[in-house]
Amino acid sequence: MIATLSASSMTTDAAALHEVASAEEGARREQWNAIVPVRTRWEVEAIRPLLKLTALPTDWDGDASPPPDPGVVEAAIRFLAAVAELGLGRLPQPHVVPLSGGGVHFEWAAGARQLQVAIFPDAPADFLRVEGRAVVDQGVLLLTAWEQIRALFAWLTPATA
Amino acid sequence: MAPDPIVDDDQSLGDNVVLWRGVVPEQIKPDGTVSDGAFRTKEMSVFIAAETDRAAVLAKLRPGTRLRRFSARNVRDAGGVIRRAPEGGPGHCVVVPSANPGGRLSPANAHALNEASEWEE
Repeated sequence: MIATLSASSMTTDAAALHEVASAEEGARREQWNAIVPVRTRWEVEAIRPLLKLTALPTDWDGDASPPPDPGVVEAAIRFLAAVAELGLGRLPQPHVVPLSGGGVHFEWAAGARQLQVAIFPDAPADFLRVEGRAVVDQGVLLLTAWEQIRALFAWLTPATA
Repeated sequence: MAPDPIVDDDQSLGDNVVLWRGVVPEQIKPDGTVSDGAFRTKEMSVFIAAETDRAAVLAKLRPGTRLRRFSARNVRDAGGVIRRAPEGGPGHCVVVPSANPGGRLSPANAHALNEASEWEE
């Protein structure tokens, strides 16, 4: 089982993709077996840290947590691909964090605005918007609710919406 | 029958009790701040600082883990209740949401707790 990233639709990212696959395939060999089609460098840079998290050891948090659940990782990659296709221009790179229990958590920051999305193996995904020190709102996020997703990212980067 | 979330809060722990939460390197952002994701855990493990010591807590966790400190009041203000969980060692407790003891702190409550916390150095 070898982790592979494929960039069939964006050849300019081939070198970066090869670098990702080469550096990380060994660690993921037993945990990840997928071809990840990507279209943009933004996706590569967002997926890279996500895949690194799959190499976390069990009990990485001291509470017996596994690394991110494969289903969560797949959902996250599909979500990132959908975000990339929104056509909102240059989006900031997310900070990707493992969640205890097998989830993943994304944080995007643009100026004073922050958007968080958490994906869990056992509960619906959710989001949080923060501006400055104030919480704007939070809620459940259906990862295929394109209009909601578009609205969240358009809020994050209004200049590119 | 589910426990009463209010009664289930360990009221013997005063609001000023200091709690520690381990944060692994992957949950620390490049600017040195902590991701709210570090607080989005079912039955979130914390330790009562007065009942253990840093070395003992860190010895249970991966190398590179650091401790955030906050008060029991901060937890309660963030919608959490605190339960002792001695199977985790001296001073070990878990934090659960008062409104949903089987779930995680909401995004906003995790954010509030993160904002209230600081590094234990």
